[in-house]
Amino acid sequence: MNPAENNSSLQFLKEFETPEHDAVYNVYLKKLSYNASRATKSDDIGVASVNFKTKELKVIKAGTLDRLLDSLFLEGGEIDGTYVRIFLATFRSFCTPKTLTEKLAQMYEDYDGSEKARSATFQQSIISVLSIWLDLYLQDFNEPPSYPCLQALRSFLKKNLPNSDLFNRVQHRFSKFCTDDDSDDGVCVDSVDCADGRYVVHGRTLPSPSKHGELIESVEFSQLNIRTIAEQLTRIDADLFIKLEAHQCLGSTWNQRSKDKANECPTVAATISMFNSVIFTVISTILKDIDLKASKRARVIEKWIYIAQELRILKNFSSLRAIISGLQSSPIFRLKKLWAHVNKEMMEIYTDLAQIFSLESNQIASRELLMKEGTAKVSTQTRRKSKTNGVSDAAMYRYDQSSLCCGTVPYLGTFLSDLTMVDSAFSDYTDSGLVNFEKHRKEFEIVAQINLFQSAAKMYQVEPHRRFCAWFNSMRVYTEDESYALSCEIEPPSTAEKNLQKTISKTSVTSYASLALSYSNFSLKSPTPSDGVSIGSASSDSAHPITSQSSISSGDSDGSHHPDRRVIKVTLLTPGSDDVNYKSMILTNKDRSMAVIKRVLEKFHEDPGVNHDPSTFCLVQLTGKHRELQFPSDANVFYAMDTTSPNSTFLVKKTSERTPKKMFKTKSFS
Amino acid sequence: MREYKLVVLGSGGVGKSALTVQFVQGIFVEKYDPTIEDSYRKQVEIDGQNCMLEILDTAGTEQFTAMRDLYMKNGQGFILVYSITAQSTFNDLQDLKDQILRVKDQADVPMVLAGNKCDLEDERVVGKDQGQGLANEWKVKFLETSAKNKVGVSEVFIELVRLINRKIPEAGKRGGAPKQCCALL
Ligand SMILES: Nc1nc2c(ncn2[C@@H]2O[C@H](COP(=O)(O)OP(=O)(O)OP(=O)(O)O)[C@@H](O)[C@H]2O)c(=O)[nH]1
Ligand SMILES: [Mg+2]
Repeated sequence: MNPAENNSSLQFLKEFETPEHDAVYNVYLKKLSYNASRATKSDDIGVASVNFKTKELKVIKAGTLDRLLDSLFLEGGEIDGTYVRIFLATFRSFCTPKTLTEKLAQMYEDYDGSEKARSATFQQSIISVLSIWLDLYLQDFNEPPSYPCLQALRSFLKKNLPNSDLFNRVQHRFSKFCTDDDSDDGVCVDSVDCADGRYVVHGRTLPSPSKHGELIESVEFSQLNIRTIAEQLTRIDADLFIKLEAHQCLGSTWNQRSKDKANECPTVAATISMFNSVIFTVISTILKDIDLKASKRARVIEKWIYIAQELRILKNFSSLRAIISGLQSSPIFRLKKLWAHVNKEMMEIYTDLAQIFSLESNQIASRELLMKEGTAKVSTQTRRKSKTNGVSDAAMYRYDQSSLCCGTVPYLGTFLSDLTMVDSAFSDYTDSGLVNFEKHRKEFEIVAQINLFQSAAKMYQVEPHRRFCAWFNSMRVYTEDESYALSCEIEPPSTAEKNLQKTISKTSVTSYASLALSYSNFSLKSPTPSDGVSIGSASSDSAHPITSQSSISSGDSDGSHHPDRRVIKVTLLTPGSDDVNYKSMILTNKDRSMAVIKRVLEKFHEDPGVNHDPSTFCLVQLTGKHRELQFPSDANVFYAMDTTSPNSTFLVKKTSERTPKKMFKTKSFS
Repeated sequence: MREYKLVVLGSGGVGKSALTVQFVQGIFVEKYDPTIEDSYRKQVEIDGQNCMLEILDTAGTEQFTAMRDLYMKNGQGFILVYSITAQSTFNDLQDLKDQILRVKDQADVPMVLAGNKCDLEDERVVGKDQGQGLANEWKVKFLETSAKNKVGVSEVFIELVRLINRKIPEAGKRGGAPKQCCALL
């Protein structure tokens, strides 16, 4: 009788804290089903079978480092595979690699001598953990010049297991690390491999001599065909994504907490750098030639839309999004006359593609697409479906036989947002100072998704294209200010635009810090192109999907393009403010409750005097009939808020006050 | 009580918020904080009738104007504001007015034209006659206002309510919902 693992079910029983208060567990009842047909055979007295047995299962929620380490092993001493994976992916926020090595070594030596058989299993398991760690996270050990972690591991193995396979591997690694110090093992922050060498992606300026010394030929955007560009972008994106070390995306590493991000998350930084590079390239190609006629310039936009469409077919959501962001950046977006020249059909494709990344309901569109197509080969069904997302059947058909279409590169920003959300929603330590391991389980769910897509990214097979590399690496790109200036030269700004720039540029956030990798300095200033077309121009009747979609929930009209900002409606509940239904304000992904409350009080012209000390107020979101969501004072409102109920209102009120019933009905024009 | 949905429109910085806040709360807002979309309500007595005004203060800055169509559709009366100190804000109004007419798809939409900041006589660039001229052409009411000195502020709003009353007279004193009124038309 074998228990059929896959039929087992978990039922929560209780929470359990150790007497020493050094760990908290969730205890589950686990039902193990048995295969009944087998049981009947063996018994001729009567039909007797066990349908299932119930066992208790302890799952650690929080604990000290020692207790967490104990959980690596099951009762008999075997390793708990799933837990080991989660632990190794996330331990860096509460323990350094060196400490972990030493702890494991210590555990190994402590087991020595006692109960023979069991301790042998344990010791074997410790070696397995070390071995898995070395396999999966080699970079933890790459700490030049002295490699303290690898050193510690080496001396431990030398002492205890000098003949083991693991010792040999560590030896080998050590000499390899030492010999090629600036080797290929890591990802170089700002370089992309191209056929003839490596160039700096960001801040590229002039054509540089190739390895062989001759000057790289100059290649123009117009000389490269759409498919080549799409494929080459995909090659680079996929390569960077495969090299991405998912644990560097964890909120604790990537998020605001560490200042020097580029050093701690080189693989994340490399992806962002590439993403920004594509945005800058899009903008530069469009603005480059100041004297170009609008009709000609519109062809450049159309070419990028074609490329975006190809990327959609290639399922490269990274560069696809970068191109859309580039087209939506303010220097490009604001050029109304130019957009009016863009072919109507192309405009529709563009809108469809942009729709994939709309912010509505937490990017459901892009997530669904990714899940549906991300890891599977293109099927007939998805091909039909995808037509609504800017891909024609004919275009899709061309790729049918090609091996290209099996790969996927997701947009990393989605995962970074998710991980940041987990990071701000869960604390690192419990109130009693234990490592909150539940948080890391949540994080691992997302890390595992990244890993899944990484294997999908390996499916592409694209050879480097020399002329593309020459072009991409030598393309002169402009700074944000330069682009804006060029854009204004092409179409002078209106007074309103000038005013806005004056007042808003001060509050803008830097693009690098924005976790969604978006180009926020530009996007802050950007009107929607549909807007540009619809006001006072002849083509105003052709309703572009963007307008119709984004204007439905007025709260989102600005936010729909920007992953890191949205507009919310707030009401202040004080005796004097009865005459204000609501005011709208921008919420960014950095805003914590207290900061929002302060801004609301300011907006409602309340003096932050004795009566209006922000800390005596709280922020709640009214999310439907009699439901309200109260934000802790340090919560990241952007991520914590309920995005599923559009047009919901926020309320700032005295902490002691109850929300009046009438507030739950949203007062708005629509 | 009859409810009125009023919309305040105009370029950025002309004083839409200042006018609205002065009317609703009786204070002058010195600080410029570009509006995205704010909504106020105020109960007033006009010609012996109690009225509940719902006033939508809109964004003049272009980046936030995507929802214009929506509130134009829902608004019953419009206040178009320019600043007498900036010619461009006056010129911008033609497009706005056209958009209102297009969205409402009616020829007769209750509207009032307001030339704000009339306390800044020294900086005046738009003459009073220019404002009156445009109002005549559009066949709408015209007033010069100062949110700062409380000149013409409540008049603007009250005029607009009167225009709406004239266009759609309330069916009865009580229970005469506008809905029934529409059904008759
Ligand atoms: N002197 C004077 N200044 C005024 C008057 N009305 C408004 N202002 C000032 O003009 C600036 C802009 O006024 P707001 O009311 O915020 O402008 P707005 O039209 O709401 O601008 P947006 O919300 O960006 O569309 C503020 O600094 C006001 O104090 C006025 O009648 N006289
Ligand atoms: Mg305003």
